[in-house]
Amino acid sequence: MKGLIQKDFYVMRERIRPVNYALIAFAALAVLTYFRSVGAMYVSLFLPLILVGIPKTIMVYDTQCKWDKFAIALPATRKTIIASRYLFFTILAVVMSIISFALCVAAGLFFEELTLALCVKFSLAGFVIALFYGLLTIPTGYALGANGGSFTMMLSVMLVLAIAYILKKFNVDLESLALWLANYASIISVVVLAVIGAISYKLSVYFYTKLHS
Amino acid sequence: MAGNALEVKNLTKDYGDFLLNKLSFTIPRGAIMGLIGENGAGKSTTINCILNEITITDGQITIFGKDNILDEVFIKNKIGIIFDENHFPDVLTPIELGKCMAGIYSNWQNREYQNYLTQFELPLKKKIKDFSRGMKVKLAFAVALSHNAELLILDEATSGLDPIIRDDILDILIDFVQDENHSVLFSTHITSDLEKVADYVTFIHKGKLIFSHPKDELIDNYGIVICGAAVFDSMDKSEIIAFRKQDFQYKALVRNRRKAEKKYPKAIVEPANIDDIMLFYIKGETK
Repeated sequence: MKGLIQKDFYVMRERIRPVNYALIAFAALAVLTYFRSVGAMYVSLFLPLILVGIPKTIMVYDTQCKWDKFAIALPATRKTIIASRYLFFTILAVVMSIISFALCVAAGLFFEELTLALCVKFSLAGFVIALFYGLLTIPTGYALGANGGSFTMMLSVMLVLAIAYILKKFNVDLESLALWLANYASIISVVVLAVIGAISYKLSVYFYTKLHS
Repeated sequence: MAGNALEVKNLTKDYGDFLLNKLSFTIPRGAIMGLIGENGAGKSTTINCILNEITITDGQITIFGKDNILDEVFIKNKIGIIFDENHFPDVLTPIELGKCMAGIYSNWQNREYQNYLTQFELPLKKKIKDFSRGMKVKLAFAVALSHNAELLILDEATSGLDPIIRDDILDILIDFVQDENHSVLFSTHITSDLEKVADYVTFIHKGKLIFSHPKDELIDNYGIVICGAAVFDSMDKSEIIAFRKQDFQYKALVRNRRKAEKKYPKAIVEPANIDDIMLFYIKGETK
C-alpha cells in the first residue's frame, strides 16, 4: 500500500502545476490581509477544500497512462488499491489542515482576537469538510471518470438543498440547531464521516471492481 | 522445484460476442511457453484471466499450485508482467518508480533493480515519458526481474521493437529460465522469436485452443506437402490439417512430415515453421 500512496504523491507533484500553488498562496495572503482575523478563519476552513480535486485528477491520469490495468497485476487486492487512495487523500487533508492551522496561529500573532482555540476549531472544521467532500469525490471518480467532479458538485448542491428543504419542512429553529450542532460537533462529525466513509469505500470498491472485471 | 508454474483448466470467458472456450494448457517450471494466435484470438483475454484482471466465466487457474484468486497477493508477488505498452505513470523517473515498487512488492530488491537499469543503459533521472519504446520495455523488464519473480508474463511485449532490442529481450528470457524454477508465458505475433526461445507453443484461434505442444515436436513433425491436383486428390484427407490452393498447386499442412514423405514420393515435403502452421490453421481450407 505504501508504494501506491507514494505513486499518488509523485503524480500529484507532477500534475498540479506550481502556478496553482502560487495562486493558492496568493489568494490566502490576500484574504488574510483584507479580512484579517476573520480571513484567517476562512483560510483555515477552506484551504483544505482546495485538495478535493486532486484524487479525481490522479484517477483520470491513472486511466490515461493505463496504470489502472497494471495496478491490478500488482500484489495488491482491489480493496487495497482503493484503500490506498482513501489513505492518500486523508494524509493530504491532514497535511493541508496542519498548514492552515499554522497559518491561523501565525495570523494570531498579528490579530489578537484570533485565539488558539478558534484556530483549532476552524482547522478541524476545514479538515472535516475536505474529508467529507473527498468521500463524495472518490466513488464518483471511479464511477464517472473525468465527469466525476461535476457530479460531485451537483451531488453536494442537491445535498445542501435537501437539508434546507427538510429543515424548512419540519420548521427547525436554525439558531437552536446551530447551537446544538456546535455542542456536539466532534461526535456528529466522527459519526457522519464514519458512516459516509464506509458507504463511500463500499461504492468505490463496487465501481472499481465493475470497471475492472 | 518440480511441478507446474501455471495450469489453466477449462478456462472460459464469455463476453457475449466473444467466447474463450474451455482453454487448457500447462507451463512446467523452467519452460518458456509461447502463446500465439491472430488478433482477437483470445491471447490477451487469457492473460487477463490469469492475472485476475477480469472475472472468468468458468474454469480454474492455478499458479505455483495455488488458486490465482484465493492466493492473489502471494502469487502476484512472484509474477513479473510486461505489457505491450508502457503502463507506468510516465511522469515518474526510474528511481521514483523503483521507490514505489519497493512499497508494493514484498520481495523487492533495489540493488538488483539498479543493476538492471545500468545493464539496460536506462537514465535514472529522466522521466519515463521521454523514453523510447525500447527503453520503456527494458524498464518494464527491470521492474519485472527485480522482485524475485518466478513467472514472467509478456503480453505482446516485443511488438514494434527493432530486431536488436528484441534480441536483447530474448537473451534476458533465456537467462531468466536458466534457473529451472523460472518460467515464461510469452504472447506474441512474432513467431520467429518463439522459434528461438520457446519450449512450448500454445495456439489459440477464435477463442479455442488449437494445440499446446512442445515447440520441437511441432517443428520436427509438422510439414507442408506441395503437390499437384492428382497427388492432392489421392491424399488421405484425414492426414491433412488444412490446405491452400495456389494456381495449379496445392499446399497441405500435415502432422507427420516423414510419413508424408514416404507416402507421397511425387510431392515435395517441407518442414513447417510456426508461422506456416498458424497461417494454415487460420487461412487454410479444411474440406
